[in-house]
Amino acid sequence: MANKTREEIIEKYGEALAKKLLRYERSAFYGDLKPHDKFKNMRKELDLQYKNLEVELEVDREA
Amino acid sequence: MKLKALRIENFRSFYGEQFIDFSTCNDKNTTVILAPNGYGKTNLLNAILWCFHKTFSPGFVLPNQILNWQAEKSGRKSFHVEILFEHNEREFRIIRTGGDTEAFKLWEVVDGNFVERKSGVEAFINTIFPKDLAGYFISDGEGGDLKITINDASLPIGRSVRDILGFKVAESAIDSINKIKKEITEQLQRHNVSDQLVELEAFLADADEKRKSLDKRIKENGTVLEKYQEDLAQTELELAGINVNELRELIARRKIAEQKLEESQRNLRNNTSRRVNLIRNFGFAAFASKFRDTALDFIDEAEFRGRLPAPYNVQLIQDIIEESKCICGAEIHEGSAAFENIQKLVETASNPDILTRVLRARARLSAIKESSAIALDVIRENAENRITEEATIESLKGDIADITINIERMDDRKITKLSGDRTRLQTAVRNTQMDLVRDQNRLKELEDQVSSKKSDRVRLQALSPQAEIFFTKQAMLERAESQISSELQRVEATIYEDIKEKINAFLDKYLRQDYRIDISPSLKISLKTRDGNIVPVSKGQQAIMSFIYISSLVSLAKESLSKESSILKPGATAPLIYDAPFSNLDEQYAPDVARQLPELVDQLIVIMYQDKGKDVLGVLQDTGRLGKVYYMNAHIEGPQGSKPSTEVQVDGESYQVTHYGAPHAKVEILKAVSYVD
Repeated sequence: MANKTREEIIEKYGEALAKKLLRYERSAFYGDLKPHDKFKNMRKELDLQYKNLEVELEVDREA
Repeated sequence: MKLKALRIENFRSFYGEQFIDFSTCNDKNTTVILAPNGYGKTNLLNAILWCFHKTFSPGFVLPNQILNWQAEKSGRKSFHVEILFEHNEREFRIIRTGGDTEAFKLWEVVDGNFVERKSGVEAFINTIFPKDLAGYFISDGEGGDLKITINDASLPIGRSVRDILGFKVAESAIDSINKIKKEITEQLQRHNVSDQLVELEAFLADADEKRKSLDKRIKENGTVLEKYQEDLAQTELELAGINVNELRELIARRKIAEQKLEESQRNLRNNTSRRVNLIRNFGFAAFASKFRDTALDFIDEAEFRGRLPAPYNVQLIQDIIEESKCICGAEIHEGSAAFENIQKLVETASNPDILTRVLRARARLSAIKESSAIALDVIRENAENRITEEATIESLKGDIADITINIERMDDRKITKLSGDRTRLQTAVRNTQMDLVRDQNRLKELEDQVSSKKSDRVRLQALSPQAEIFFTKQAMLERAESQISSELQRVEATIYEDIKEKINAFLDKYLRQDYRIDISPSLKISLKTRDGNIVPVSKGQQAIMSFIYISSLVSLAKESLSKESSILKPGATAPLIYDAPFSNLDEQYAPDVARQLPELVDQLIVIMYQDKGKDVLGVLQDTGRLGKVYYMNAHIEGPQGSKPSTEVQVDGESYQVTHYGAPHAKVEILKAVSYVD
């Protein structure tokens, strides 16, 4: 696969991740989420977005 | 968020229960509460602040004595503030109790029923109306949080913009991302990946830290440089403004000399850069000169002479021997006479590879010879120019120093001081510029290194599938971080222009003088004439700018909430609640500000003294933005005696605000008029 495509996919999921992480940060900032839970949710979100990315990479490879 | 109603019970000057229904209309969005001095304007403002956040404004005196003394005398031990408000089309009710018992309760109004929220009440309120931001919205107009200093570099405008527009969350998210990145690097080190990869990752993490610190320093130095340059320009302006012809001439001469100096210094820098290029282009020729002569002689005289080109090619002869057959078809066997003859031929045959190499070496050596001849002239010219420029610079520096001494000898304290300031500022500008250039070069170098190491990382990570997962996650986090940072930069780059535009639109309309405001990249607000000269700001002008600045910011926050594209969310939008905002404004400015404020925010609550010289109420009524007017009425136990009666005027009606001979001293809040419903 061309590196550029991979870069583009990373960019897409990195940006999706940014929005989700900001949401958790905002909840923690306003006291709805404890700092520990904030990081727990952020790590989970990273794993989730990584899985989405892997699926897209796989689809791309097969194509 | 909009405030719908307020109930105060036994809070400072308010004995018993007092009620206010605020105007929540979109057009008639202003509620005014009139009160003479000493009735409890600041108490009312602080009751609201305390109800939301159990806190008081900075100027609030005796914050530990809240229970109304009359209530205390009658055996009451607690006080209460209740607020009804709407937020995102939902309605809420909060009650805070202080004194002997402390409590804070919140209900949501669902289909007319109160549904109590049992946990996380303070946190929930903080999501609607953050404690950190409360000071911007609920403000003591006579000073306190609202005061935005004009023409002073240390003013907190950067902080207020960041707070109100929600930058804190984004910055904190960047910190969290960095923490997770660090965790991943640690995980990577624990896994069995190559040392080289681990080393690379450590280098990149370290480089990232260095980059951030360099970025920060460059930004700070940029701000400092800007400030020095502004101060220097101002000092120059002041010096030039001193009305002495001789001084003016000296300053003009010095300016010309300085321009020439700058040109010479630029020439010298260009000369240095040319010198570096000359070394790159001709250095090898100069150093290879001796070698060139010897090598050319060697090639001319050595064993190749007469053999180049030789009649036979060594490869051809070797092929014949290997094939055991001559090109004429005759058999050639080892030991035969023909074989022996051919072997002899090999000794004199030429090797084309060697031939090519020798010819290339000769060509290169000849080029060195040609370069050497040119190099001498070019290098000499460069050196001569350098000497000339250095001499010019020295001479100009001497001239400038002489002129400066002459200026200082003019025996004027102001001139001496300004000249001294000027020299100090020039040095500061120069040093800061040098620091900036040095840091920028370091940053560039670091970025080159990082880019090269990242390529190595891509190559190495392909060898380790486990590492690839970590690196992909790192890359995603880096992308998320840069997405947030660039959004912050984008908003920051445009926000000050937007604020400037809003404030200038107001100044154009209402300020007597033809002044504009300017916000420099170092976030310094200045009031300037059209020519760009900074003007001193009066107390009244400062108050105007403060109100317009904060309300413009709140207005921008409101606008950005509706923008789908932005990933940043404003910290809050809440009503502006001002205590005595017009006290520092004169008869003209007070109505002007009154005309503008309701336009900029969703809801405005003004607690003020009715100054007969400033018809603020009349102006608000004329604009059609006035929703409701309340007034405070003081019950005083003692007799009136010779004291005059105090009254307020609302829409042609007079309301007494002092009642003497009352059974209990207390302040009550009464509705005068409502233009809604």
